[in-house]
Amino acid sequence: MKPKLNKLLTKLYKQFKHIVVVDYEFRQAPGESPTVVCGVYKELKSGIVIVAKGSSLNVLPYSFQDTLYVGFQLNAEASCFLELGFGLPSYCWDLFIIEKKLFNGAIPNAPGAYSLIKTSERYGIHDAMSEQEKINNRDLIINNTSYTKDEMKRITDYCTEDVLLTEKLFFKQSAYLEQDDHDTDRSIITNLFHSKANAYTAKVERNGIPIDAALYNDFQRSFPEIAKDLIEETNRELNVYVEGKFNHIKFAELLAREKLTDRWPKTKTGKFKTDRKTVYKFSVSNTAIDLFRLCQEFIGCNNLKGYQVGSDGRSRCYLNMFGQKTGRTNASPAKYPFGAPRWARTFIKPDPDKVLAYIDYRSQEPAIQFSLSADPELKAAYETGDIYMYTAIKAGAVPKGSSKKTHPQIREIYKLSFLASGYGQEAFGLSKVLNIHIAEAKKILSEIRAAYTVYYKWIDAWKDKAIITKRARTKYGWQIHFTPNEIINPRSMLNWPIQSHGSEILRVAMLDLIDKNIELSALVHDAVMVHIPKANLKENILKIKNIMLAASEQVIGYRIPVDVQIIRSHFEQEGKEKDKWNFVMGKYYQTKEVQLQTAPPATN
Amino acid sequence: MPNDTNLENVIDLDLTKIKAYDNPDDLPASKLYTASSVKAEKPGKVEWFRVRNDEPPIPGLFISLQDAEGLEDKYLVYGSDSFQNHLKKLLPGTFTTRLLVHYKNSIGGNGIWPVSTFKSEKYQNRWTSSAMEAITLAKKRWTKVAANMSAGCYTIWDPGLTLSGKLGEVEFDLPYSKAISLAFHGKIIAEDTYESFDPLVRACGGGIIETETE
Repeated sequence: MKPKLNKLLTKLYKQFKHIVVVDYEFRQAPGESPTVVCGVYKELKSGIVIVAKGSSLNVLPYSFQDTLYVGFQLNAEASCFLELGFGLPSYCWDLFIIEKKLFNGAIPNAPGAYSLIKTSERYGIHDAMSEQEKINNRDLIINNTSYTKDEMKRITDYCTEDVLLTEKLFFKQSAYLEQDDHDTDRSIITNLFHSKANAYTAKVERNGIPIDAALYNDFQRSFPEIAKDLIEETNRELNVYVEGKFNHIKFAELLAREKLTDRWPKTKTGKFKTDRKTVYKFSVSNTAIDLFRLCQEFIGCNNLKGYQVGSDGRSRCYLNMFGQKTGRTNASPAKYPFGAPRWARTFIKPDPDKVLAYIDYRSQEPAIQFSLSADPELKAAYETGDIYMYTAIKAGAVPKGSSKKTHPQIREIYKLSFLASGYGQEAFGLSKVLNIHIAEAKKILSEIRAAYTVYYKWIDAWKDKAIITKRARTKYGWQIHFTPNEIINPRSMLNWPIQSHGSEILRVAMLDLIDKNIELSALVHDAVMVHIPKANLKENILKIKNIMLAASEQVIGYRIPVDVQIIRSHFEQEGKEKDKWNFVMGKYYQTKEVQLQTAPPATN
Repeated sequence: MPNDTNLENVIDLDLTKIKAYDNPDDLPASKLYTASSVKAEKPGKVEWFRVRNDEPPIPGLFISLQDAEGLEDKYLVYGSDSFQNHLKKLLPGTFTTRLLVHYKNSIGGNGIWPVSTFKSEKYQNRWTSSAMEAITLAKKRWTKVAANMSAGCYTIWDPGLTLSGKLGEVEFDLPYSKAISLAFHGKIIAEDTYESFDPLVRACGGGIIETETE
């Protein structure tokens, strides 16, 4: 029976020649591209179902130019389109991303909360297969490289069932979408945009990040010895490990030696916290804690985290577009070099005939702050190139003409305070960060507010609206629902519009870069890394810069300048991170020497 | 259902041409709630009330502190675990947990009823159990409670069919969390208001912190 079409669906049916629900089954080893097992397409206008397997997989039944492809987590289907040589679809409708958009913040982001089955249940569709059945079918696909006739039948039936379930969800969800935004055209356009962005990340994932695979693989083989040596040596200074194991009492002694006992947070059981976030926070300003942080990357590990390398020497992982509440990507730090320790990024290396370019928006957050709020004073501060020093001068903390060189400490205080203020931190928290009296912290914060009155008036109004409506949206409709916790304590929501618009800028840039055939290797918060030929480098860089400038102009109405770092060999880091790399590689080469000395003599 | 011959570009799929979502200026006129709009006490004995059923009540941490005249008052502590722990170490006295129940009376007044909680059945008493009974009931129908000192519990009243019909349905237009912040306005100890609490500063053994003003 053909379903009754609401206003939104009627428009979609008129706009596109075909509306096709698609699902592929595939297996995929870590760091590799997928091997497609089968695919099912259901064209909704005609009701025709096409099951593709074997050689029929190589034919795309509906062209990308005039078809709306509907799916659940289309990033996976896009990776199969690419593997099959079809390229990427022009029009996508991703029910998974739309669901996240509708309920971001309202549904706890627990594992499985946005699965196809759980999502269907939210719309009253209860005839889906159980999660266990799904797991069994997935196991059958993943754990085999060939399938009997019966097994293939089971797999295609499973795939068809998912397509039919996705179809039901498409109709049910569209009704909810209509209620969520009465401007149907806008709802369609923005959902197409966000769905396409999720699909296109498949291309970035497929490109992968080129690395020095020979060095990396050899390093991983020697990792246990490197780790042992490194921990032994650093422990002579830190004295926190006993017989190779972390000791809380010794750690408390280290904190006492470093005079950090009063400021270091504790767990509920009264022990000092040792989680990544806490250690990172203190490592920035304390050398011993920074060294301890380095050890944490080695202790109890069998290999270096941060890479998932395929047989072609590229590191690949799921980027998880929209993985954060702000819509930013959320790749696993254990698999993504840009989530891993900075020093370890030095393994990244372009192919011999190419360079890597790391291109990031210059101080993206304040640029978004003044653009959204139209604060001329904040814009003027930004355009001096040193917003923090400008603020310190404006507050009278330093004389006119001061610079980072003449007053580095005051600048640091105003930098931390400016950033803290953007995150809604108040005097109590700031006094802890800066280790100053609470009254002094309060004074600095009030100076910052007085300096940028237009921005703070705007963000206060934004906050009030968010409290009343209990939700907020970006210009393009990525939205968040605020929990009672955030409404009682609205400080935590202040940074959301800034970060979420940053994520929209990156999506616009990503789509354009991919459409213009730039090999995009990584998305990094407010930056991209591209892998481009050495030939015509200047022209290519200019082209990419223009794409990124245009993306920010499109979203916030301001061309945020970008900085370009060309990487011709290893992606070397600076300062302390470079020292760490040298230290770790020193251990690696020592290990290699020992291996050579103890290896049996070569025989003819 | 349209077929291919009816196909038309009904929408200009240009993202740059859409009307942007959310602008703080386009907030529609709405009823303004102020601190005096929300009570921070249990419903009065003559008030018919309903309890909101769309969000479960959250627990709040309270500390009793003396004000400038030496009178004791309860403050709601709000903030991260580390901030709460910081205050627990800093302040004398007992911290108590209360369930913050949002109710609305028959003339539209909002209130937050801080209800005692019990850790287990063992510590249950008749006041808490009868309060919880009333709250459960008030999620579905109009209810009234009056303290019965001799029985050591609340007496719960039902309006009967006729009065129920007159009282009508209830709509909670004030967000739960906003109701909490209004009910305890000036009495929430959060990280950002921490230093402005005279009683707290006194409890810490210091004077009032001098701060520069604009």
